[in-house]
Amino acid sequence: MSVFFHAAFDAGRLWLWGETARASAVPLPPPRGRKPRQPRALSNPFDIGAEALDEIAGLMDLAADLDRATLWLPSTAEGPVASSPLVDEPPEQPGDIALRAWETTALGLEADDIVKLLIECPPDRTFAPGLFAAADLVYWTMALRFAGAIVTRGAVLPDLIQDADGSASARWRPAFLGRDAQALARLAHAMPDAARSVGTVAAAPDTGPAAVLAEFVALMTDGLIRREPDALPKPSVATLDDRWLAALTGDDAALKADPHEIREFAQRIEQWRRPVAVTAGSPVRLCFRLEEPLVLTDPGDGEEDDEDGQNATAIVNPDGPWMVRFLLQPHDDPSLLVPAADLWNGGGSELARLTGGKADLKEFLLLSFAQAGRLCPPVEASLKRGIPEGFETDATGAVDFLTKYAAGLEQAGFGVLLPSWWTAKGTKTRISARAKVRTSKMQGGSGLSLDELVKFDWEVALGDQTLSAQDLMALARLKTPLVRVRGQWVLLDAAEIKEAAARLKRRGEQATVRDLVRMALGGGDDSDIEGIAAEGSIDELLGRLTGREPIDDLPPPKGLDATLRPYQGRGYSWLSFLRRWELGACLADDMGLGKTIQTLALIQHDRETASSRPTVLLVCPTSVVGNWQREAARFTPKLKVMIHHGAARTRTATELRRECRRHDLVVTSYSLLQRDAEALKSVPWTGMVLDEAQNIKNPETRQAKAARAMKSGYRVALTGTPVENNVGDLWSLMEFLNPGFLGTQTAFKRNFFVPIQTRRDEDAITRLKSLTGPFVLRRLKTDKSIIDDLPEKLEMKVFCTLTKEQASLYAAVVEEQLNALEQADGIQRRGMVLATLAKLKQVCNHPAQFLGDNTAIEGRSGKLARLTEMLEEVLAVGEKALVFTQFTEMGDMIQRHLQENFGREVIFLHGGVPKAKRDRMVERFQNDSKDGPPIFLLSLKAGGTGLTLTAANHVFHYDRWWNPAVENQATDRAFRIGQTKQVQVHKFICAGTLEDKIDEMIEAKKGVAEAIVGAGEDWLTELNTSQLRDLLSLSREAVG
Amino acid sequence: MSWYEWGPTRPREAKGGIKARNKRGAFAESWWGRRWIEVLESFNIGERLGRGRTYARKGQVLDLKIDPGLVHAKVQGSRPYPYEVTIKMKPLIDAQWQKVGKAVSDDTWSAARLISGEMPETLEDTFKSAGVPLFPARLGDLTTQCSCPDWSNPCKHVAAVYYLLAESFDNDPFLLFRLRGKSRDEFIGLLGGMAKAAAIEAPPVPPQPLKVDATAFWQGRLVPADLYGAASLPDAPTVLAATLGPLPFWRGEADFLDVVNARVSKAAASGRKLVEG
Repeated sequence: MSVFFHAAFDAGRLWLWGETARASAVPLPPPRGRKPRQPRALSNPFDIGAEALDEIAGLMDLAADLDRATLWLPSTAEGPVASSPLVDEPPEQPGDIALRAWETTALGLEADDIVKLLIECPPDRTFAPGLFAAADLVYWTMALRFAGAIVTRGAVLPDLIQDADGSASARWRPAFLGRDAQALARLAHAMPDAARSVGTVAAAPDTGPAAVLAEFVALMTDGLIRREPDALPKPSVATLDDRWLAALTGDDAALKADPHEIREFAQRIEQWRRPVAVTAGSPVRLCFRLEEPLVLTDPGDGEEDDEDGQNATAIVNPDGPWMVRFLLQPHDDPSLLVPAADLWNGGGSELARLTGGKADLKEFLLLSFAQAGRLCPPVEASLKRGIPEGFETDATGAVDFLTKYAAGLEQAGFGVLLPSWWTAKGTKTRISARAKVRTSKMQGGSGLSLDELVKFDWEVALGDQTLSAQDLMALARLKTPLVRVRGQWVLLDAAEIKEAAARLKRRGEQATVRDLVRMALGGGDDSDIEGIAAEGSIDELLGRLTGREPIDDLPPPKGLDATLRPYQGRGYSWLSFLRRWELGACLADDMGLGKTIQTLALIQHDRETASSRPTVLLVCPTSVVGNWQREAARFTPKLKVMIHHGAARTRTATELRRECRRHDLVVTSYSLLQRDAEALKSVPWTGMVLDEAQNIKNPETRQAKAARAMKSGYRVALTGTPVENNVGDLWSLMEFLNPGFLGTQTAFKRNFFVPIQTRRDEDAITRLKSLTGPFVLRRLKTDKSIIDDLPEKLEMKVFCTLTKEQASLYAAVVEEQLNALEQADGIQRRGMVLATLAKLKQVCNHPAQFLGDNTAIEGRSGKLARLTEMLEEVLAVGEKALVFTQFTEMGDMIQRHLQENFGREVIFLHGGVPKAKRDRMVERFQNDSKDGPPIFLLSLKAGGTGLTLTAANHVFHYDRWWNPAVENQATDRAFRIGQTKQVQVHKFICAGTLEDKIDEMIEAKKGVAEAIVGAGEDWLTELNTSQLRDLLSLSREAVG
Repeated sequence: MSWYEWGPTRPREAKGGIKARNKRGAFAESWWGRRWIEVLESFNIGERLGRGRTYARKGQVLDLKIDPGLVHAKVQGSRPYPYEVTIKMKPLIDAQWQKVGKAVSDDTWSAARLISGEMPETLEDTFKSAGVPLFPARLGDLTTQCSCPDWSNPCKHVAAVYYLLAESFDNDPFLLFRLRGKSRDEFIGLLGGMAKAAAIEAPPVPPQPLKVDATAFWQGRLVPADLYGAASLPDAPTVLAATLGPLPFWRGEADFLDVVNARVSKAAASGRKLVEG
């Protein structure tokens, strides 16, 4: 049963409530005693009830008591419209909806509780399978981050709030100036109404989103500032002033005093806050514009000056003054900038017209000046000189303004207009250094390793000009921090010049090729390093890495028993190229494009070219261990594959080393990677492959640590989820592939994660792309270069591994049934054979299906685990899927499991669904909208024919009907006229079980099989008991 | 007159009095506060001056009210009921104020600081250049009165009020003007601003009913990824409160801006954790 948590803000509290399918949950009983004065609202039918909510409060350690809240929700005559189809079906007639009040059990959270709750709210909205955060709850997490940003900037003021009942409290209030005011408006615009749906029975809430958000942010900034209270030294006789300060910094914000005294004190605070209030309420703002000195002509600027334009002559040190001008800018019309001096001289009529003459601009201006003067001393100095026009300064003053004062002024809500050549990190053009590799005798690949040391010299440049030591000295002599080079302003930092000069002196430095590659891709620690210049093989390596030059196509290995599609050949060549240099590679092709075969080709190629037997460790989820074994046997039969899995596996390091030496490929699971880490670490792996590499996305997990700890020559990661979309997950992956490339985790967080996550920093995005791009290859099914290589329909068998529980159940059933069969014959025997088959299929599907006991679903079936993993990839790229099963009970379980894991609706069509509802399901699934159900589960009998479901481009056959015609007919629900995408068909088979063997038989004699098998499974009843034993018994590989 | 009646007596302990912030050494911190004390000290009232200082520090002054030309205070002495103290000072006449206003307007920075509650150092000179005295020059410029039985005037109670006035001026320079006959707003008017500072009121926000459309109601709109634009979070906060200067007429023992700065800076670190995750 899925539960959605919601939160609505009202009157200083965030009301947390839960929504679930119309349940028999007991809501909090109405308070005893007097009859409430107001009529009560009806009980919300989707209320999760007091017990469930209380449990959540306990889990999250929330202090709030259970309470009741009145929600105003869009409703039909039947009840509220649920927030998700997992709670209730959407109404069929959207026209008949009106707002109605519903009473629900809720927790009224105060500041501390709110922080506790919201920081636990996961980004993927899933607290646990089946427990989801609704959009309104997620919304408040962003509002809390906004409050955090305001506190981080210090944009808060202490205040004294007088309540209507005469009490007073000391509070910190956000100022919402400048950028914060804009952010407030933008965030308010995004607020779902559910976030402000708490009202009274008598009246629906109607406070606008901006006001609700502002109140929430005010509550949270206050809460954040007083979160770690520190006791002030207790004043001997506490004045109201002292008590106010204590109430601001302590636990209790309440302030008791004579009302008259409070009023007087509040006036003083208001007086003190006045500049901010005036600024916030003013229709204009004070702006500071930095203006460059006038430069008439720039030598070295322009086309005609090229070869002989000597370096030094292109550098100009203009002697005109810089100017910081004071301007007024109306909020309504930011393009209008009126000199503040105009207003002073009685002018500014345009401004007066714009502001309607209402505001006291002169007072505003004086207050602004006083505030700005405290932030920026030159402003103060200039004002002493009379008419407030601005101030002239020199290059040093300009740099001071840019680096020391501009940010503070902007934060305080002033406008700051800086030249476009200025960025947060300085001028766009700066002194930069390049490593120029001296020699490059080495030949690509053969024998040259990344750890080899090469010599290089530094080259120093300013923009596109190379600088000599003399040039640098000349620059230092200018004694000015800003010069003009070819029409560009350049920040000259004395330390930087010194560093550059020192670099020029250090000739013949040494670095490993690995370091140089990192430097070339922009991963250096020094921000001034701008790539490297190299020739020969290093240049070649760099060229190929950055895609400047194509990677040579490698002929497929002889031992590969398949034909690579053209794009697979390119992928295999790319993997081999990086492998040659022992650089880690992440192959992130779309599902179904054949990551497995490309990887196997790489391993086979290695086997054929290496002098001694290379041993590769392959780590994958338990559910696909069998699949790898199958695919290896099929595509690269010459590879000796060892499965390091199951209870019978080799455990000691010595034995494991010996065993591994006899194999080419060792397949193990993530859980064993960490459990047997010590033994596995002792094996010198030639290469290591992580399948479903998103398993190590969290660097702190034991499997991620174990993966990084392995000693391995080359490393490959395979994943079908778009890695580049989640910056946070990249570090762990790259640290496994190419340790150190992205810096330490802390540095990565500072340089990339935070800038990209909090403000979409373009520069950081570009740099990260440059650093990781060469090591990630992702092709989509829809890529032009891929689509022609692919058939319109791609059928794949997915071999799954049984869990231990499944395997022992399976063995028990086989044993019991075969013994029983010995005693039976005739029609009774036929029936028993069919029953046996059904039972075994159920065990393969899920133990709970076989036992029919409604026990837990999670973690007990290899098939279900694999289905979940694959569907996750389908959902990640926004595609839709059909899932077929023969068993209604299994369908129910799959539906429940998937819904609880994805928080998305999964619709299930089975024989019991009436016609009208079935039509509606099809219509909703086929509908283009992104909110529609992305997964359609069908029983083979009810949904195998007739329907058109072309919105899906994936078809999963969870269990098999040993009749290809029936399966194909089901597949054709998606693969038919109207389908615009390539269709992938995934047939699930539990390795080593009857599913596997029957499939083999059918494949072996396809033509014959179709003749025999035509009638379904009846032909199996003709087999004698010994044949049946062969068919049904579990082979060793099956066990997980 | 017997000694036990008029001799040195211990004042009763006062609760909730206005305590001088300064515990030892020189009293006021600002130049104009100090100037005020200097004027007081130049009056040579001897022993009573020291007593007054002790009174001020102990919080014997219970109430302090400053009106144009008149200071009214209650001081707890040795008797059960506090003494009433008044200090009168001659207000400036309009013509004098006009001259001062003109002189201040010519110096934008002084005007800006005055209007935001600060007293520029150059102000006394500005007054002087306008030919208008800001501080009382002689004892005769002041009329002081106290309901205590002490015959000497100014008595220690008057002196205590004097000291506290100096501290009040530290924090609200406009009190000095008020004593001279003009309120802050009236003085701002002199600087060319509007005579009465307009009250700042946020425009009324129209009610916004909930939407009936279920999808919009439950889902809302996409939150912009670059909510804060290109702005990065600063390494250290620019504490907005600090840009406003000290709170006028501060009577607390702790330093207001120090406490606010420390608190906000500390919170900024945890705020950052919240934003950056």
